Amino acid sequence: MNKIFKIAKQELKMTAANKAFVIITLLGPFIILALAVVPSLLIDKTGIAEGTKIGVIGVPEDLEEAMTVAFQENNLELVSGISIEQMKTLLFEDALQGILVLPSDFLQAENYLYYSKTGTDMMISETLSGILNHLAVTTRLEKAGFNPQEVTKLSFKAGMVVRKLGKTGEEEAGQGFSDIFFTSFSFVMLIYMTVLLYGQMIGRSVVTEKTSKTVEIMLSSVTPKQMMFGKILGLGSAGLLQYASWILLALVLVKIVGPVLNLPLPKALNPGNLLYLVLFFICAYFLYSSAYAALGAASEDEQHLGQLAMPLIIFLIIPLMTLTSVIMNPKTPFAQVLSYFPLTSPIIMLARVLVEEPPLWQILLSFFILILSILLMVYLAAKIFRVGILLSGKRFKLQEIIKWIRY
Amino acid sequence: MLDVKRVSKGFTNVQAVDSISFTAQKGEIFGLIGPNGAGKSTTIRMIMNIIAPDTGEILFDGNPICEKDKDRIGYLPEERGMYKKVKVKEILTYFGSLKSDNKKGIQEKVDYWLKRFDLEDWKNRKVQELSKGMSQKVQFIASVAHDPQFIFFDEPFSGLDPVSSDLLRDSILKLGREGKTILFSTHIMEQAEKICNRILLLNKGKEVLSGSLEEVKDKYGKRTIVVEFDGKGDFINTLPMVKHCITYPRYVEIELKEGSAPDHLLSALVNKVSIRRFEIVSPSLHKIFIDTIGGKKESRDE
Repeated sequence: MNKIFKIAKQELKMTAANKAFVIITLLGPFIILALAVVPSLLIDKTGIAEGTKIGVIGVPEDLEEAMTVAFQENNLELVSGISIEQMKTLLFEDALQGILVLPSDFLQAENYLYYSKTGTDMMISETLSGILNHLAVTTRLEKAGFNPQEVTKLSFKAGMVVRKLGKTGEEEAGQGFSDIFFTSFSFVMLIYMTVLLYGQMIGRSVVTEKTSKTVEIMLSSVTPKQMMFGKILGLGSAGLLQYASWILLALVLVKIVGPVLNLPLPKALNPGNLLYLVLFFICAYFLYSSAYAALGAASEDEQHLGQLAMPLIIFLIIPLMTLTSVIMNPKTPFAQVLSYFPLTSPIIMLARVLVEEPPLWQILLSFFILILSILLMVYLAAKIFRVGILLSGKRFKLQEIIKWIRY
Repeated sequence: MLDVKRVSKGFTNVQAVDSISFTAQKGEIFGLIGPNGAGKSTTIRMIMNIIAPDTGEILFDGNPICEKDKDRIGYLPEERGMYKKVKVKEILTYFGSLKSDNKKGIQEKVDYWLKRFDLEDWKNRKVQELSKGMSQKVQFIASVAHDPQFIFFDEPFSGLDPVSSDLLRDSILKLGREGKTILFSTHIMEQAEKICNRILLLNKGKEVLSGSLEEVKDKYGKRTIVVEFDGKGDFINTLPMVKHCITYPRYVEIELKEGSAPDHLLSALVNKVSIRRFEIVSPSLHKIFIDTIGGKKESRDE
């Protein structure tokens, strides 16, 4: 045990002295901040800039005034009276944001045509579509003999307010979709990145031990098992150190900086959720790092390790790819299965915890399966490690390596 | 005292070590000698408890080796390596601390050896800045910093310049005088001859010969003659009384056939070359090595 801690201490020292580690620790919070806050700031504030000019061809004379007013209400400026050729020139001089082409029989039109330089400015085209449809419908109703004021009064639409309902029955104010989505996404990205990073660091560290021939000296002092656990614990404490500094920063941000500066910080960034983040990181770390340690011991060099570790990376990527659907609908059987399967559960169960507050027994079951899997993985990894660390000179295939478990 | 008794180890296709026995006494420098692939490293790895022998036993001071014994052993592996980005003193202290809890003792030893090898100015530099010779010395220090009772040196002189080589040899001899049990493996016979009290010659995992240097040399007889001369010596190989002749740059080492007397050789030489030295000697270890292993190798290659 003593030797394990000595190795762990040295590994922690060597990792913490590494420039990459320092940079990631310092930049980590900004990455999280960027992922968690900036998109929601962008969504809330990305309106249409005032005075955005839209060229319109074929404005119906009787509706020109109403249309101009409606445009102005949406920060848009209606430009008309020039030919479409001139408008195209203006568009490419950036004097116009877009060109709207209306058919001659505006009221009976099935489509309006909108040109823009990008073809992707959804916000404006949606706004224009809303304006035009509203105008067309009210005009049609008017023509059919309804009173314009009456029509406006009767044809109003209600908006939709979305609130997350907490377990205790109370509304959790401010927990909107984008809020939860971005918090979940940044937490998940964080776990994914750190587990991958630390896993590969362990793998590389073990391979380097072999390629630099330091392994002979190490094994003349300690057993392969002590060496493996020392490395896993050492790098793991480096990871925890990193998480601790990030979480401290997040709490300072949420509890002090946010209220003082009145920043719209996500409510999901709370101590409870941060605790789950750390717990799931620890589980994912032990599971993946022991596998990486075993593969590192079995590798000839870093490229070989990269090939052997492909299956692991795939299991890390699956939850990332399915994350959006899990967040939108955490009740599907697919999401349920992934939240218990140990290689994906740290990410998927964490996302479920953030989104839907699953029953406690489900969270505990997920942890229980994880811990059993970690024990099994560590047991198997130690066996592979013991054989692999002494073998060199051949690029073994994964199938051959797995057979070492029986030795 | 280290006792290796009839130890064998086989891998999938090779019998790496085949029933080897030897004893290294306290204060003795024991040479494990043989060509590459003879089984030296496997033997050392078994003694280090890194791999287990298939049969046989290894005793430290009369007790079977266990994991704890690793702390009493210092090991300089043949293929050297250290963490490149760590400072010299830090890595020496780390490797020492893995085997001993006596921090102060390790500090003192590390300082002592750094001074002895004239590396004091380098103790706060990173390992990657060291030259090959320097890192070899640092590695040597790593093997002795925890003041072990048993020390294994695997090819300690490879890659060292003559001055460092001498310094290292003196250090090893000094450790021997201090009462350490030293196991020393090499394929360079001259080195073994200068250092070892006793040797074990290995080939293809089997013992070829063993004993003290004197015993080994006696066994190979006194029919070896060294001749230094001016003139062309090509004919010597064809003389009837010469069994074998090794030509060195400045002299030849001749083994006579059974029943031939040295003065026959002298009379055959004296008229053809001008002799500066004619000496009856013990065979060099190098010659024994070639005789016992070189010959067999050739016949196996055929």
